[in-house]
Amino acid sequence: MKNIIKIIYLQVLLLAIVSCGNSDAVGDSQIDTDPPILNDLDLWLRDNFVEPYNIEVQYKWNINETDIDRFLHPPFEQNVKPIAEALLKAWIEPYTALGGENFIKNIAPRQFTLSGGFNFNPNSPTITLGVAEAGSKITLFNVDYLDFSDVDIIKQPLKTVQHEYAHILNQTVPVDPIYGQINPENYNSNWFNRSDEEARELGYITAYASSQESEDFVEMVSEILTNSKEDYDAIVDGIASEQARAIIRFKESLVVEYYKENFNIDLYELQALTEAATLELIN
Amino acid sequence: MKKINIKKYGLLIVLLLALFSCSNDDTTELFDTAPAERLAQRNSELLNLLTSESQGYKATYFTKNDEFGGFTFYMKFNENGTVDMTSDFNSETEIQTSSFDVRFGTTNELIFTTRNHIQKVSDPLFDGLIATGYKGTSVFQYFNFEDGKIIFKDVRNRNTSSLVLEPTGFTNFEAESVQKAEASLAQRQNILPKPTSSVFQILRIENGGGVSNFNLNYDSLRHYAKPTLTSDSGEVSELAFGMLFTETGLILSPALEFEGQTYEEFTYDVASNSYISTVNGTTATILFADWPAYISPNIFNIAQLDGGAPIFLYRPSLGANSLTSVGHDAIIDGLNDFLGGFGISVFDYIFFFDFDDNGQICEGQFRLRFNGFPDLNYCFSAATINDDRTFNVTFQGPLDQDSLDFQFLAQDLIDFFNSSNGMVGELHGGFETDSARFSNLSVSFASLDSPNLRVYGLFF
Repeated sequence: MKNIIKIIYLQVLLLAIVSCGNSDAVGDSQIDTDPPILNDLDLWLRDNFVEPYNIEVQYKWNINETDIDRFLHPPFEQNVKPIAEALLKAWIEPYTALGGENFIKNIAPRQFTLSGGFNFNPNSPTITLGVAEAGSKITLFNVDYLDFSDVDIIKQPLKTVQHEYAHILNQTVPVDPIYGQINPENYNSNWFNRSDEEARELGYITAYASSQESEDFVEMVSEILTNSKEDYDAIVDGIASEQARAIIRFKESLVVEYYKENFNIDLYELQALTEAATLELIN
Repeated sequence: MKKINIKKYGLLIVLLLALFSCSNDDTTELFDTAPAERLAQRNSELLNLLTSESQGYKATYFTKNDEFGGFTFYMKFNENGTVDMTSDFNSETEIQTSSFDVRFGTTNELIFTTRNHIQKVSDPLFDGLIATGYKGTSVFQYFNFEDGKIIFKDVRNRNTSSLVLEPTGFTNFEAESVQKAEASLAQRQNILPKPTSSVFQILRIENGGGVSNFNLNYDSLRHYAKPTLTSDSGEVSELAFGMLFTETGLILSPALEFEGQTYEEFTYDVASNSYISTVNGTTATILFADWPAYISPNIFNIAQLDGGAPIFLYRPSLGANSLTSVGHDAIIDGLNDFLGGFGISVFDYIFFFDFDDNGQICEGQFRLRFNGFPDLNYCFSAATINDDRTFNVTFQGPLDQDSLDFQFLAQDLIDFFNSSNGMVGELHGGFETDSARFSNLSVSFASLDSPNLRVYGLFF
């Protein structure tokens, strides 16, 4: 009797469950899955960044990708490919040549966002040239004002990328804490009140390097990688203070060691490759 | 037995549940589609609206109507995701092509995804508005479609921005859009002073209650006006609106509301060089008047300076201030053009006022000084203040032979001060130009004989 009742219970329960089944088939997705319209530039970016490196170059405006309170705008479409080619030639290819085919694939921001105009900082006499967010994204500003006939102007966004990429490398392999103990006494949040020349006499390669330890390290990297060996040496040798020169050379040695020991990259070789590639970009 | 009965009842309850659990007890449906579908439909509706106009749209865009005026854009949206555009923002009216997108963000949005004319209003390098430009955007929230107009807003300036698109009605977008943009750009020049324009630019409202004259206070950089109406007792009421220029006149945003009437669209009248809006038998006019909307009592303060003998200096090399009129600049430029051939130029001029009239000759003096030429000196009477707060100084003659011989060089400036209808003197705090700032008290003097002439300078 008990078993019969159990079987009846089971049948009724099954009936209750099955009887509520909706006979309608699952319809089409309510999400718009139509592929976006891709222009020639989109296809070129897909072939040269997305497919080989899984890096998106976002040039079409999305207000959420930048600070909504700043007055920023997208770049002219014709200014996107030149800066993207510059990234490819003067950043990705040199690192790939020395670090191996997968170097950039493994350690790289997953997205570049391009903004056409200058990013003015409120209540400060400064502009932001680039922003790196959590190692996953780099935003470059003033893309519409890059003059590819002037090597100094072209080096500015490349310096920003080298700077931000060094941050990303630091997030992968931390810098030896000894670096921050070399000359911490003049780190200052009001770094913009110093000129580069004044900062160098204090043992920092640029004014921004004198803001804090982490910026100091990546500024060393970006200065080395956006100057030829001769130009870089001329900068350092032009510092009047012998002590400051010695400090910067010591920092340089730590940076070179960091690249060699952690990534097996000769920084001077990388410097030569990026310099040659940069010069080739100039019209 | 009791246990068996409970099981039977239990079974009965479960059976009843199984039978009734599938009953349809849905209430009335508010929407017949899911939210995602409705959003997609609205995106599709907006996209279709934009691309369905083969001759594109005229767009009037006020970025922030509590700070700036607006601009007109002509835009044609194409099915391949591009948009062709021109505008009256500046003289570069050539049509440019860029990308646009319609997507769901904070709501259904139109996004100008690459740079075109529309981004000129958010250019942080714009001279005079560094870091912000006109505080415009590239992203617009779709609000409504009514009376054939598509209405958008900028989420950052939700209550002060508006982008309104209406079909152009063109037959040739490429040609007509540029023509229209250039026409409204040209219209913008009509509100600016010319050498012959009076410096008394006012907003005059005439209704059953009489005539009210506001000092317009137009800011040509921001395309924005803050008209002020000052009563005899000194009480000030202020209006504020942005202006957007059209081929035939201008549009105000927010609309001007005064004594129960609303004035929004003004038509330019070539004959009177004024903008006129007529509403229910009342009229609002923006014009260059022969008399200021209000004359302050500043002249009484001026008369007290330096023991009643203030000394005024105008020196072009100290920089420009818009209070010096284009007409006054034209006098100085004309003199320099003439003298340039002799290697001479105007250095400055000084007016020695004397508000203590002793009835003597030469109580006031005008001195014109040059680079490379002797000073010229002319006698004026003492300054007398009139009941209407104007004042007069009367020309009496040259002070020496050189001044007599070369009086033709100084004549226009002598005439400026020798205004039989009087002059208006206004104080403006510390001296400030585009290249200098001093603590000296600054002042402007305007002629009522020639209201196109006004000079800004300082007392020293």
